[in-house]
Amino acid sequence: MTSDIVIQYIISGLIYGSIYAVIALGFNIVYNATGIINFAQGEFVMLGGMITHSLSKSISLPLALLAAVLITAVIGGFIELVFIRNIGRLAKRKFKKTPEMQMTIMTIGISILLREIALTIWGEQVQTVPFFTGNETSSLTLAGASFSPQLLWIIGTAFLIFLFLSFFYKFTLKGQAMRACACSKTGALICGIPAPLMVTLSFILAAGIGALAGAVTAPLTQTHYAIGTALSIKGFTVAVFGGLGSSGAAAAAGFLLGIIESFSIIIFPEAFKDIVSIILLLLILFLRPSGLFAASVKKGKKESTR
Amino acid sequence: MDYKKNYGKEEINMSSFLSIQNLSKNFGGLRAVDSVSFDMKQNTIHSVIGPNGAGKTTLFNLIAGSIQSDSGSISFLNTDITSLESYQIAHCGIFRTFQAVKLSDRMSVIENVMLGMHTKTSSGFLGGMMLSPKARSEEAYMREEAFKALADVGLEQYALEEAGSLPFGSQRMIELARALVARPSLLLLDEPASGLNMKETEELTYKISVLKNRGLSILLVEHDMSLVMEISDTITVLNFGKKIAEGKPCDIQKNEEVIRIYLGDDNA
Amino acid sequence: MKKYSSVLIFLCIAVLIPIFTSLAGKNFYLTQLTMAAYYALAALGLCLLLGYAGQISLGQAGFFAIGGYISAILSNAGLDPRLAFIVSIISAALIAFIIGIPVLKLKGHYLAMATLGFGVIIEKLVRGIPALGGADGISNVPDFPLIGSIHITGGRADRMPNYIIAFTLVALALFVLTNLLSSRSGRALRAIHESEDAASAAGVNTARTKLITFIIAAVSAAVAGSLLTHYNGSIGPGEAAPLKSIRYLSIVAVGGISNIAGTLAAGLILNFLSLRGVFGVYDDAVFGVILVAVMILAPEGFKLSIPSWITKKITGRKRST
Repeated sequence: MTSDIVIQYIISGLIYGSIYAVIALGFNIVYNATGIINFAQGEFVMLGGMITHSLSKSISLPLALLAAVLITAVIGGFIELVFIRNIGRLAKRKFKKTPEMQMTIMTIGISILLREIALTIWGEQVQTVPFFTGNETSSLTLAGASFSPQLLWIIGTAFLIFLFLSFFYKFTLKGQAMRACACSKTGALICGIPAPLMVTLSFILAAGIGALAGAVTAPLTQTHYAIGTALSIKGFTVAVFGGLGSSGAAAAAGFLLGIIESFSIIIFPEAFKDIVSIILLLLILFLRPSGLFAASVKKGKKESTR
Repeated sequence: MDYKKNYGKEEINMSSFLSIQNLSKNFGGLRAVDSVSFDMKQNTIHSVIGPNGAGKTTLFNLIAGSIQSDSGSISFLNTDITSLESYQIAHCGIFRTFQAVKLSDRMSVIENVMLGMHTKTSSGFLGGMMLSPKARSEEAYMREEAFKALADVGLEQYALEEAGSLPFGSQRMIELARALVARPSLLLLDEPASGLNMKETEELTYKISVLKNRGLSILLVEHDMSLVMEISDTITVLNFGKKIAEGKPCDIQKNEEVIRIYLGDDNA
Repeated sequence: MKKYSSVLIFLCIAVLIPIFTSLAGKNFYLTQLTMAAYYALAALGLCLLLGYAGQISLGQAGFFAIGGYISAILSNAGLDPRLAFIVSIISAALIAFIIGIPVLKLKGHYLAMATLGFGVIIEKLVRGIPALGGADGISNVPDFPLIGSIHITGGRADRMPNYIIAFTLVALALFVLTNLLSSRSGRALRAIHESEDAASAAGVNTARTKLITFIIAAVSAAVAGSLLTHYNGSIGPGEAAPLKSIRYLSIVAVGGISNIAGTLAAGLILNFLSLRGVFGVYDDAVFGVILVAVMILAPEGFKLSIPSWITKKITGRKRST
């Protein structure tokens, strides 16, 4: 195996790894705020690419990108406000416990809806997004291997997202408020933090960064109405591996998964690439569900009990 | 109806009925239970009291198996039960109630109590699905015992009602029946008087003493001092996770440190 | 006896349906109803898992496919379909066992994701491996010999017997599940659903109970997959699609989550409509909409229960709970 093939694999791994890492972050954000897994996270990524594709035909690419992120973020918030919140309200009125199962099922339903809506709007074909700089043939070289400049955009964007989130959580009032809600909803409410708003904010944020990741990688990976499912599973794998709570771990795990998946082509046919990551997920769940960092995943961890 | 038989196993070695040795549990940086030790004798009522946050509930849950200790040991009838999970604790003959009553609201009252007979029967999924003779006879047996247990707490007329539709005090009794139906060797009561009014508390006090007279051993965690002082044989007092006093009610009432930590505490 | 009222009502309806279809001259409806019955069987297993053990599984389609594909491959290779059936059931049970042991100890959404992943794996495998038929699936699957000369097969002449077979099977499932739910294990299961702590405190091994329930759900899907494959004479990778798993979820949700009879009714009706093409190209979308709508309107599922006047007529008594 020559070194430039190795580097190609690594590059491919980095590209996909970035998406997975960002999706994992999206899962973390929502999980920390609500305790549920948002199955529609992968669809946010898909929407980012799809909307950018459509808008880029009429407006400039940067604007299309911005619009796609904003629109998807709004959709995320809308979903939370209309669907998730209502279940919570209805269930708290009728029954005593928080309806985590129902909320999770709801996100499953929403992911289907988003997927079918995408199918209706954009059809079954694979869609493309213009490259941010240059086109599909432009390339840079490093250590004998050539790669598209889009890769730099991808890694740069992922890096920026991580920076933004770290800053947001540590230093801004809203970010700290969200962390407070994650630890204790009641405590946060007592301090005057509007917990429901934080939940909406978490969905908006998760949708936004998902869309950004989707848009920035779409030039290289293309986008398709059905990619959401596999992306959700892989992003979830990364999130679990990283311990469902830690950004840094998610980043590391994301790149790791991307690279493993990439090199798996050596052994398995490409059509089965997805299977590799799913098997990894199952292995992780079997062996070390708490991931690299021990954020407890066993039942009874979250303060909100029955 | 010969339901009022004796509880508990015939145990000769009285000193190791229930033995807690240096039990500790941390939550993050908080020492919720700090190296607590005590022995409980068979056929006694042993109460654990202390101010809020003293670690009573944690200690209770450690014994009941819903949480695992960090160090120390718990032994019951000379068997080490420290690392057992709560369902395994039940199979040892130790049954508990919950402060916030946990019933299956949508099941009938009698079914809730029948659940308590789970450890005394063994027919499984297949038997249940196929209506095997064993399943059917066990079902009749469970129903009969559950009915007796319900009658014992005076609620047999509500047997077919939906459990969630009954008032709180009755639900408490149903849960008690569920814990008693399997003739436990040790009964753990988690703040049994919580949410009860004066009259209901009196009835509870009476009920507990009746159970003791039948041979039952009871460990309870409680805030209601009148109840505790009236029925306990031994009282263990916790504060900040440590055991600070232990003895008979009259001794505890005179204990200066106990008085001090309770000064200003609100007690109904 | 009143607990069997749903079984009796179902049998009545099952008898009435062919009468209506022959009167209306639409005997071919029986074919789709037969297929719908098999799909409903898979949904029943999920109902037990979701509505009583409270676990979300998105793997029913995967288990359905395991049942169908193993039956198809082994039968085509010459093995007696009944033996192939047993092999496929055991395989499904084993896989459910392996996945279930670690994952059921974790919070609900882990099982959901793990089973979703499992479903994706199965779909990719059956679609990608040529020996498994690839995108075209496997066809020319032989009939399934039931008793004597009665076969599970899709020919027009066998339409009525096969309708009877399928609906009898479903009635049996309904009967068996009703028995289960009023038995010791069923009580344990229902207790887990409402208060897992109480169930544990009463001595129920909750992890093991959930595992068994998960296996039951997987087996019900595999049985449905196997028999339907013999009925259709073929199976394709579309049956393994996660979208199908979500369909089962929608059916259970709209039927009432903890409502066996409701799930059965929903399963029959919705699948029948889908098979008749009523939903057109929006087939998958409809189920998605149903899922979301049910979650908003009635998170615990619609309380479809048989009105008391009907149970009174059948058993002479009113429902007490």
